[in-house]
Amino acid sequence: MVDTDKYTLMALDALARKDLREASDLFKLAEKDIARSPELRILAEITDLLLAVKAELTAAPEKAAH
Amino acid sequence: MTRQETLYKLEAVLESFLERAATLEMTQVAQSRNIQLLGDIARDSLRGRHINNRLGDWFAHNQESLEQGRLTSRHLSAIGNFLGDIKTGLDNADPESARLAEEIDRWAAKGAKPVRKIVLRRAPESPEADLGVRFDKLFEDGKAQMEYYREKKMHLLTMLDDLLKSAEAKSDLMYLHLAASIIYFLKVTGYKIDPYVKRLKTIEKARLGTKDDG
Repeated sequence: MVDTDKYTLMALDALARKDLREASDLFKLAEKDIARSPELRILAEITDLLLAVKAELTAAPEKAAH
Repeated sequence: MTRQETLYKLEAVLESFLERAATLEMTQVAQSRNIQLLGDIARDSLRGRHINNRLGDWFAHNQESLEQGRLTSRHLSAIGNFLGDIKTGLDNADPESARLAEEIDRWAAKGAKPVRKIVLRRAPESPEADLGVRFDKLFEDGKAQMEYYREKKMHLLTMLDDLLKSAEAKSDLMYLHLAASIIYFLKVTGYKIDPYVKRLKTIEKARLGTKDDG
């Protein structure tokens, strides 16, 4: 298996374990797969978006309330 | 809805989507890898290698996906093509190979049929016509085998050695026919061919001593 395939599978596995940070890092290593697969690109982007939402809620929950 | 509520809602929706999409994508990637594995088995089969155990394991591993309809039509077509290639190399005189050929037929009945090489032919009108069709098939299979060797950038003598080994191990007449053709070409271009002719004759004798499936 080439590295990019390996990283894609590891990223998907990380998502299944709900480890978003690891999944996001691994998606960045699987750049060739991401470039040729729109589905994987959407998964990678949503992973980053979800991390951003969680960061927003964690960092300033009181700010988010307003 | 407050901004916080919106963010929590967004978080829940994205989590739910990711969970489902990741599972689906993982299944697709795993199926693609399984099909690549079958492709490797088909290529080894064309080289005359013994693939029965690996093919049996592949069937066992993928049985559930077929039965539960988890394979897409694209996957089924790819599987059908590889199984078609493998079936041409199976020796039906061998009970284990015959069982695998039956399993290939079962997969074909469930949709894993080859979609390429669609050739429409009239039914043979005479034994001579049938003979011509059989020769065409032999020629086409030989051409596919030569293309495989060319992809591997093999030298002609290495091809010949591989063909003779395959002819020894398998009943498919194509290997013997192609080997004989190369030997004749070497003869007319001035190469020493005695050792190859000797091997060819030994294989021919062994075949005649068992069965004639040509």
